[in-house]
This record gives sequence, structure tokens and C-alpha cells, in this order.
Amino acid sequence: MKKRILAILLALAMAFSVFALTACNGDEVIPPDDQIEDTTTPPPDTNDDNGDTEDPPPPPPEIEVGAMTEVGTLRSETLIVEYQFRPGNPGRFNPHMAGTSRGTGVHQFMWSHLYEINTSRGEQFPEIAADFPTSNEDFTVHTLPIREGMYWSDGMPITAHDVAYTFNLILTNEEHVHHASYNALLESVEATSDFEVTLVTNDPFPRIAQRFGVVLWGREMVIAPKHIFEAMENPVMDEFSDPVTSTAWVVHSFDPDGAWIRLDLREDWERSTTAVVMREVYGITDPPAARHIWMRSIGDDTARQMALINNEVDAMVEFTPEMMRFVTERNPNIEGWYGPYFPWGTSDDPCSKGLTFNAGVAPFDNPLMRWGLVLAIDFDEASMAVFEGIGRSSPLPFLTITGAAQEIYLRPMLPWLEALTVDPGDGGPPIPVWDGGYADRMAEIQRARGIDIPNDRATLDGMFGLGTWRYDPEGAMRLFEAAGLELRGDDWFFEGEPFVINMIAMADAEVQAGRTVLAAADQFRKFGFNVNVEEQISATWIDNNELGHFDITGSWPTMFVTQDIAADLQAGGWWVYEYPPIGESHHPGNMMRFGTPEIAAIVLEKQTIPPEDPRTFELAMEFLKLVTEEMPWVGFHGGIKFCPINTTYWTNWPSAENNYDGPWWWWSCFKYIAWQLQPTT
Amino acid sequence: MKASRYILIRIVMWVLTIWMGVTLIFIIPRLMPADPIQNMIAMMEHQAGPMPAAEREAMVAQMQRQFGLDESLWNQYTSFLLNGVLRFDFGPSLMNFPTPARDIIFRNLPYTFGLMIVSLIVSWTIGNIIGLLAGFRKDKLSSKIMESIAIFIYPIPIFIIALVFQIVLGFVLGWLPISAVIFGEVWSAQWISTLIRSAALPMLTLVVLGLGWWIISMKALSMSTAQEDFVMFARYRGLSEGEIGRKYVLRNTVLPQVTMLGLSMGGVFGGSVIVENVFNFPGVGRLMLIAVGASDFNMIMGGVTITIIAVTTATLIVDLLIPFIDPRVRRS
Amino acid sequence: MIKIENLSTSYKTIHGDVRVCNNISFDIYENEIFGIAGESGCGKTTLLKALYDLIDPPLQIDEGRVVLNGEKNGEPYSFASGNIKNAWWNNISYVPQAAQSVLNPITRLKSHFLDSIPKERRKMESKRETLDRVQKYLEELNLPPDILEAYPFQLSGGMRQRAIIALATYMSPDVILADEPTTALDVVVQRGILMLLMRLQKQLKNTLVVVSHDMGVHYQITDRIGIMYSGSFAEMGRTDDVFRNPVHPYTQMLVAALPKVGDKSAKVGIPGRPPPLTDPPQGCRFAPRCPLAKDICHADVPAFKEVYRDRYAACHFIGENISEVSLV
Repeated sequence: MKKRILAILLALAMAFSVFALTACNGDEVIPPDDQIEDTTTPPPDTNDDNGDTEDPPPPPPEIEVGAMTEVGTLRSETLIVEYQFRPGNPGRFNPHMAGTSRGTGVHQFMWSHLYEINTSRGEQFPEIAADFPTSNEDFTVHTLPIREGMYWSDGMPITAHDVAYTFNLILTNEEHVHHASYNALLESVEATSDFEVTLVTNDPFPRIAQRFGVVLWGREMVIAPKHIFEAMENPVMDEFSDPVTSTAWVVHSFDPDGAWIRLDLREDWERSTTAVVMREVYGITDPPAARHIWMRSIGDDTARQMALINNEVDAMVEFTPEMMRFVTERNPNIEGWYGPYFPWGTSDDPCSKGLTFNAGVAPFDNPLMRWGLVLAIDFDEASMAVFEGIGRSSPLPFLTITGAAQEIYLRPMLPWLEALTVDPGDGGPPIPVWDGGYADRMAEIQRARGIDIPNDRATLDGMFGLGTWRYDPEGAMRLFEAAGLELRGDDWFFEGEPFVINMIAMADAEVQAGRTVLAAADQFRKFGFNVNVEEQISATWIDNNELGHFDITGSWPTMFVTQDIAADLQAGGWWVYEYPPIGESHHPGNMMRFGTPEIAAIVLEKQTIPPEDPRTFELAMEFLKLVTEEMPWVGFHGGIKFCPINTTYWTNWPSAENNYDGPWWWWSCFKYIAWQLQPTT
Repeated sequence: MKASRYILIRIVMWVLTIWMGVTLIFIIPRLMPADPIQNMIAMMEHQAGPMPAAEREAMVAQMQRQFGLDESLWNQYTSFLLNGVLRFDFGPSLMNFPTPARDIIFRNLPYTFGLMIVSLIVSWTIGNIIGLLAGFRKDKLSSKIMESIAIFIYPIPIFIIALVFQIVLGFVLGWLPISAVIFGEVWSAQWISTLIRSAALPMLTLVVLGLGWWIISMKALSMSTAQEDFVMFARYRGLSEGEIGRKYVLRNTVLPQVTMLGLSMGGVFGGSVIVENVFNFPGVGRLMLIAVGASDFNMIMGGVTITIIAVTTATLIVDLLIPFIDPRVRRS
Repeated sequence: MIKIENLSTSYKTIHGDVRVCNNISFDIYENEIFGIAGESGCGKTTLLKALYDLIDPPLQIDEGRVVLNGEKNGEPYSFASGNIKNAWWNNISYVPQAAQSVLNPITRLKSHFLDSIPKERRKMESKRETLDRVQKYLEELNLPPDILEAYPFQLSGGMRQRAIIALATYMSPDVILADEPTTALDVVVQRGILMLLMRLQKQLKNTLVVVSHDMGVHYQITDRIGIMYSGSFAEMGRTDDVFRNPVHPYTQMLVAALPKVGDKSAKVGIPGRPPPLTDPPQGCRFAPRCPLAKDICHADVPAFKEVYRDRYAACHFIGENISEVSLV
């Protein structure tokens, strides 16, 4: 027995020493003293952050030259980025297979599209296409020129034949997810030469580039290599796990459980689509300094913060403002859109968040009721509850007030908004609804918390928006009564029954939307309503949205990507005005179950007008005014995203000061951002 | 009773237990209001955009066919028993369609298996040694200290232990990775080294967690054994404390501990969901958490079925082996 | 062989120290069977433990000591309290009470024998040789030959007790202490054990100390007997003498209570109970129950002294004024 215990102890001692030895390997955080390289710039003295002036700033992190990552690459040459979410089927790189997870490292670095978009300018540019299409008079025949000089990673040239093949794959293969919708749109697609494709649409369609190119994060129209796909038994069912890419990177290896994927720069990178675009569109001919891209999933929020502080990641997908505060205090190299200071996050995500009213359920089918609820919200308070007041206000239905949208649509609308009133019809004066003082008040509130907010109008407009809806409890009361609600003592009744507002929110993602619902619920309770809030997991919540099982939901049927918003309106179902009853899915249509023939006519007319025609802008303004009067959806803030980056190893990230692109590491545009990042070593 | 009868009864119990567990796991998800196919369609529309009604219905019908959900409940049940339980064929995973659920489970299983078994054996061995000494020499200060440490550790929830190690060893000191990264060709040197580094913290957490229980239980056992008459008599006969500890106390206390070890082995397959999640370790526990969140029926049923079978089989093996270890049972 | 000098032991309790053995001095000789008798709780087991040096807290020796003197292989030895542990099993052995559970249930008998051999001796011969010796020894004790392979639960109560006695004696110790060796055994088996013990003692010519509350046991095998009452000896002397002619009132009452073959008279028990050790009475502890008690008995503790040849007693009415004190 004694011998056995001794043997076990010996084995343990050996195992422990093995641990200890391997733990000393590949370590990139603890630097030997003689190799410290201080590459960080201290933060500027002006614009001090959140008031913690007593603590000295943490020392800049030290980096070890020659450190290796866990995937066998030099840290100084590797860009480490977090996945948006872990792919369910790692190793499936075929974009045309049902269920392939996109948005997780797969499409940003491996796939090319006909057109790409620069979201900070709101403008598309051609990627595989050489230029925007030219169409005939009635927009049914479209000619696409294709760029020359681009090659697949196996050496074959990228031509119009690949483009035509991809279109026809979707048009002919019944198992492709988009088979039906493409056939509804297109009559035929042909490669008329090696570098020209002709599309024939069934109906007049002036927005080819918007429909088949990227306007947001990606597109299903990913150009596939004809010479490989046509050899597959069924291209829509082949995993393509050893993929040939068109971009500048190829897959080196990936974790079979989906935890990470490593991409390396192609040797013939100048022949990739990305290099050609960088040269033609951006004027850059040098190769990217990021020779390796390592996209990974870190784990839960605690682990994510720790990894970022330890310089183990360069860019992360989504943080809350509390997390931003935490990490920026501990590592001066961590920044958000506005640098390491308040408000950290960008308000330019195209989907603003707010409250969706269910126009299929009384009394929410009455615009007076909806306006009443809007006026019952103290937006200053609600905004503090969501993200501590961070975010540009985005009050209009449908339209996300990005920086560009604010200038194109909201500013010209201001006179109209200031004059806008709602009349409850009770004989009293009509109620004005606009409040242009939000930005100034919010700036004061933040200054009172010790945060330095600049005084200039442009910054304030950009940071907090041009205005929001008034907080008018008396006006709201009049509207509720006009809508048929009764106040008996302290309780509200509708049609003789106690009145409860049922609100639902998504529990497991999109923090901003969830918090918006909760903040609104608090406001309604403060007003005196009985409110029932349910947070549901995404699958259940999405279902309930579609079936109409809610009074108010936190969904975001909002958009601004294309400047004339025509495609967005079409995709959002704003042309529908007849809906099935509650409990049946509303396709096609929108979650609010809202529409009028007048609005529908505007949306449909816009589809026939090309985006350059000023008439489409006029129609857009008409649309916005109509829906604002109806108020089927009220906006709180623009889409706020806190996407922290770490400048220890890489700089020249997009930011408020350096707004050359949007901070969307999980969108297709990231390939162009990655190309422009500069190494610090 | 005769040996053959003993074995037969045990085997019958094993089959019955598996059958009951498997039936329960078949019924329960179907009682939930969430419909996995509606969920999947909703996710697809969320990503790709809304579908026209006719197309949607066609897709629902197609999926029901593919997942066998259009058959009668009885048919589903029998096919589950035949395919799932006997051949581990649980159908395609709903969230990773069309990859079979079994492939994914078995891909993750070895990681959980390795992690848990090694942790179990390490914590069992160390815990029993400490517990034996603590109970046998209960008046010594060292024994009291060890017991206090064990009692202190035991009630600490596992996620706190995991977080403490992650923060101290991973974040502050940077010795081990915060989040598991396993890189390289399977069984290559790099793969082994990244695996060890990634598994170190989860294993440490599990060992510390398990230690508490083994120390406390072994201490109680060894303390009560140490009071026994035969231990007393052995002392009278001049046996040294060490000999008494080994031959008299240990041998008597190790039997129930071995039984417990055998029973704990079955639980290995459930994996430690929390530990795997905190450290992002690619095991079955993590997989089950994700599967439940996504209402992936097939994956859930697959994982739970395998766990049920593993636990009951481990119990069966322990039952069959005990007579060889404990002569008193052998006699009866 | 054994000298007990002014031994006093007590238990430490939260209520104070409880004195169990009170200033005991006497001798035990070589080649004799000495019995210690008395009611439950009189302190005889504690005394035996003191002889074996099994004084563990909360038990402690307040005063005095036990000295073990002897000769082994021509070499004289002497062990005193605190040191007797070194003599265990070699020179002095102990057969505990309740023999049922003193054997390790999961090891075979042979392991017990092998265990008990001190380490130095183990190196001197192989296991096989040891077992052969033990085997022969067991046969002499009328135990079946395959008993070494058996587990304890496979043996009957009597066989187990014999095996334990074998364990305790095969190293030929000079002193064997037996604590209630026949309790929980039926009468027939009892007799066998007692005969075995006597035979062994004759063979080895060593000292056997037997503690028992059963006067019959003492009568059957002991040469000398000491009767304890409430922490000290009431009487001590040659067994047949004491039984025939008890001088201490307590002994007289005990003997009178024993049934005899042919005696059909009703037996009288001793009224009352022994005093609590936590609160002993002043003076002679038996006085509260003694029919002859006088004032002096309640005031002074009688000394334990030789009252006539080879007979010791502790009573105020013996020695000075020898008269048969008869009881009704």
C-alpha cells in the first residue's frame, strides 16, 4: 500500500512539472525586463473621462517582441478579432448551403460580392463588378461590367462566367434558400463576354446594385468559383470545407468545435479581389500588415473583458457601457468610437431601437393611444436608464438617425416637426409634440456627473441628436381618454376591463433593445399604468413578434443604409396594409401590423424610380411625415454599438475622429479596415 | 443468492433504468410549448428575410419530414429507441443542420471524458489521502487544519472557484489561457501542449471542487473506523500508527470510497457544464447548454441519453465488481 | 512481576476530575493467575488499562505508577508507567473485552498474526516460516488448521475468542491481561476458554490477570483475587481462602449471594448502590451500605493493610478486633 501511494505521488509530481513547463511556453503577457517596448501614447490631458481623477492612470501595457499566439503565428503580424457568434457548423464554408453561419469570420475575409458599401459615407462601391450597372430605359435589362485581373486562390481567373454561374445556380437549384425569391425577380442572367454580365429582370428594377450587392453586413449573392462548384454533386449541399477564396486571405486552420479560425494572407495577394479594390478604390498598393487573421470566440463577458485587458484580442464585437468603463480604466490602449472616453460607442448602427406598437390590437390601433404613450415618456430619464444617456436620439418611425440620415432627412424636417401637433378632439388646444432641447439637457446631466462634454453645436448634435418627443403627462392624459381609456381612482380601464400593457423583449442578445423596453415599462408604470414585461429567448420572442402576441415589443423595424431608403422600405414590408388576424404569421408585412393605402402607394412608387432621381427623396419625406403622424413605432436612440478596440498591437482603427469606415468587425467591410490597420511593432 | 442470479438481477435493473430515463427524455421536450421547427424557421427569416406564406409552409413540412416529427408519437418513440438508444443515431442536429447530432456529441465527448476522469481520479486520490490522515490523527493540528480547509472549500459554488482561478492564474498572472484554444493536428506535439494548457484551469477547478467532498467523506469514515475495536486492538498489539493507518483504517474505508468513485464515473459524461462554459472548453457540457438554448431536440436527447446510459452502466459495473473487492458482500 | 505503587487515576470531565482509582498499592507475582473482581463501575477495567499503560486522555494518572519487572532470555527488564508501551505484546499482552469486533473484518486471520510480530522480528524469518509456526501453535490450542485463511466473520464466537487468545499468547509474554474474557459467551464455551487460559498459564508459567464481574470465573481459575469497590480494593488474598473466609463485609455479602449446589435458601442481594464517583462519601465508601458501619466508618477511610498472612483488607473492624462478624 505504501508503495502504491508513493507511486501515485510520483506520477502527480511528474504531471505537475509538465504543466509548469508548458505554462512557460508561448507566453505573451509577462515581459522580460530588457525587452519592454513602450509603444503607447498617453491619453491627452483635455477631455478628461468619467471623473476618476484621483487614481493615477494605469501604466501602458508592455509587449514582448517575438511573442507567438496560440495558433502558431507572430503576435505582431496577427490581427485577433472576436467572432460575433460562434458558428454552429465550423468547417462549412459554402455560402450557398442552407444554414451556413455567416458573420463569424467566414464572410468578412473569404467571400467577395458584386458591390460593397462604405457605411460611414453611405455609399456603395464595386468589388467584383467594375462599375455600377447600366440599364435600359425601363430598367429591365442591366449590363454589369466585371473587373479584370482578379484570381481565385487556386490560380484560376475570376470572370463574368463565375458571376453568371452563381446567379444561375440559385435560379435553377430548387434546394437553394433564395431560389424562389430570385426567380420572382430575375428572368435570366448571362455572361455575354469574359467580363460582362447581362441581367434581365421580370419587372422594372432600378436598384440592382442595392439588391445584389452589400448594403449592410453581407449578401447572399456571393460569387462562387464555377470551376469548382460545377464539379460538385450538389453545390447546395457540399460543405466546401477546404475552400478556395477570392479575397486576399485563405483558411489556414479552424477549430472543429468552432472556437476559432485562422486565416493567412495569400502568397499571390495582389491578384485577389481585395487587393484590386484597395488599389482602384482606396489607392493603396501595399500589402496589409496583418498577415494572419485570428477570429475567435472568447466565452462569457468576464472572460472577454479579461482577454481584452490582457491584449489577447484586438477588436471585440459588443460591450455594454459598464464594460467599456471597466476595461478602459484598466488598459489605456482600449478605445471605443470616441476614444477611451465617454460616450465610447457609435450611434451609427443602422438599426435604431425603440418600441413597436401592435396596431392589430385595440387600443393600440388608435394613433391617439400611441401618441399618448409617446408623450408619457420622460425621455431624459429613460435615456439614462438605457445606456446612461449615451446615444443619439432617433425619434422617427422607420428612419434610423445615423449621422448621414440626420443631415439628409431630419434637419430639413425640423420646421415641420416643431409645428407638429396632435389633436385629441376634445375641444382643447392641439398638443405640440417636438422637443429640440434634449441634447443640451443631456449634456448638462453628463457634466453634472463629472463628464466633460464639449460645447460646440456640431458635437452635441452628433452625440445626442437634434431632438426628441416631449414629455407631456397632461397631454398624454387627454389622448388616453380620447382613445377610450378610463381612469377609475388609481387604475386604468379599457372597455370595462382592467387595462394592462403587455410588453415583450429579447432576453439573450441586443442589450439596447431589451433595456429600451424595460426603461419604457418603468416610465409607463410611473405614469400609472399596470405593465407586464416578459423577457424571452430569441426564438420565442421572434415567434411572438410574428404572430402578434404582444401589445408592445422591442423590435427594430428601422433602417438607414441606402440614402433614398427605397430598398429598405420595400424589405421592411411598409407596402402592406392588410394583415391576418393575431396568431397567424404576418408575412409579408411588418411587425407593427401597420399600413395605409396611401403609404403603400408611396413605397411602391419609389421602387420604380432610380436612386439618383430627386423625386425619390421627395417621396421619402412624404413617407416620413405620414408615418410620424401615425406613430406606429417610436424611436429612442440610434443603434448604439460599443465595439472596443485595443491599440497595443494595431492602430489606425476607424473612430469618430478617423471616420473612414464603420466599426463593424463582423461585417463584410472589415476586410478593407483590416488592410489599413497599422502595426505598432 | 447465487452469483448468476445476482448478475441477472443487476442487468435487468440496468435495462429498466435506461428505458425509464430514455422515455422521460423523450416525453419532456415534447411537453414544452416551444416548437423547434417554428423556432428554426423564425431564425432563418431573421437572418435571410421573410418568406412568402406558401414557401414557409412547404419548408415547415419538409423539416418535419426530415426530423421525423410528422410521424405519430408512437412511431417517433420506437424509432428513437431503436436508432437513438441502440445505435446512438439521434438524427440531424437542429442548430447545425444537417450534421448528425451524434457526430457533434462524439466529437466533444473525448474532451469532457478526459477532463473529468483525470480530475476525478486526482481529486479522489488526494482527497482520500488527506481525509484519511485527517480522520485518523484527529487530534493533531494538521488534521484540524486540513478539515477546516475542506469544509471551507466544499460549499463554495463551482463557478466562483472557476472564476477565481481564471482571474488569478489566467488574467492577473497570465500563466494559463483565459479561454481554451486547442490548435494543431490531433495528437501532434502542439496539439497536446495547447490541450494541456487549455485543460489545466478547468481541471484545477474540478479537482479543488471535488477535493472538498472526498476529504470530508473520507475523514468521517476514517474517524469512525479509527474508533473501532479492531483498530484499538491493533494498537495494543504494538502495530505502528502507519501500519494501522494503511492496513486497518485505509482498507476498511477505501471500499465505500471506491464505490463512490465508480458511481461518480458515470457522472463524468454529463460534464461540468459550468466549468466548460467559463473556460470555453469544447466538451459535452458546453454543448448541452447551447443545445438547450437553441431548443435543439435531437442534440438534447442525444446528450442526455448518452449520459443516462453512461451513469447506469457505471453503476452496473460497480455493482458487479464490488463482490471482488469486499469479501463480506461476496459471502452474501 | 508487577508492582503497583500508590496509583491514582482520574477522568477529566467538565464537572471536574472524577477519581477512578484511589491510591492503590499491591503486587502481582510471577506464575500466578490473579483475578480482579467487583461490580460494574468499580474501576477494575481502568486498573487493568493502567497495568497495560493504556492511559489516554481524558484518563490520566494523578499519582503513583505501575512497574513491570521481569526477565526475558536471561536479560532482566523493567518498564514503568509511560514506558510500558515498549513491552507490548512481547512481554505483556492484552485480551480486550467484547472479542467479537477486535479483528479486522476484511483481512484474514493470518494477516493478524503477521501484523503482530514486531518489525525487528519480521526481518528474521520469512512469512512462510512464521505462518508455519503459528499454525502449529494453533493446533495445540485445538483450532482447526485452515483457520488462518479464514475471515473473522466466518468464525463462531468461541473460535474467535480462542484465536484472539492465540494472538495474545504466541509470543510467550510474561504477563497476559484478560478483560472479561468470557462475557457474551455461552456457558459451555466459557468453560472451554477458561480451561484454555489455565492450560496456557501452566505451560508458559507466566502471569495471567483476569478481570471479571463474574465471581464464578474467579472461583474457577484464579489463584489470588482482589475485590475492588468504588475505586480501591476492599479485600485481597488467596482465592479459596477468600471465598471460604471473607473478612470484609462487602466480600461477605458477595459470597453470600452466590448460589451453591444443594443450597436451597433464598439469596439476599446487597441493598443500595455504589456511590457516584463524582461525589464520593467521606470515609469508607462502603459505609453507606454496610450493616456494621459505625461513626468512624463515615469519618475515616480505612487503610488497606495486611490483616493476617497473605490477606489484605480495608475495614476498621478487622485486625484489631478479630471477631467473626456474622450477618443474618
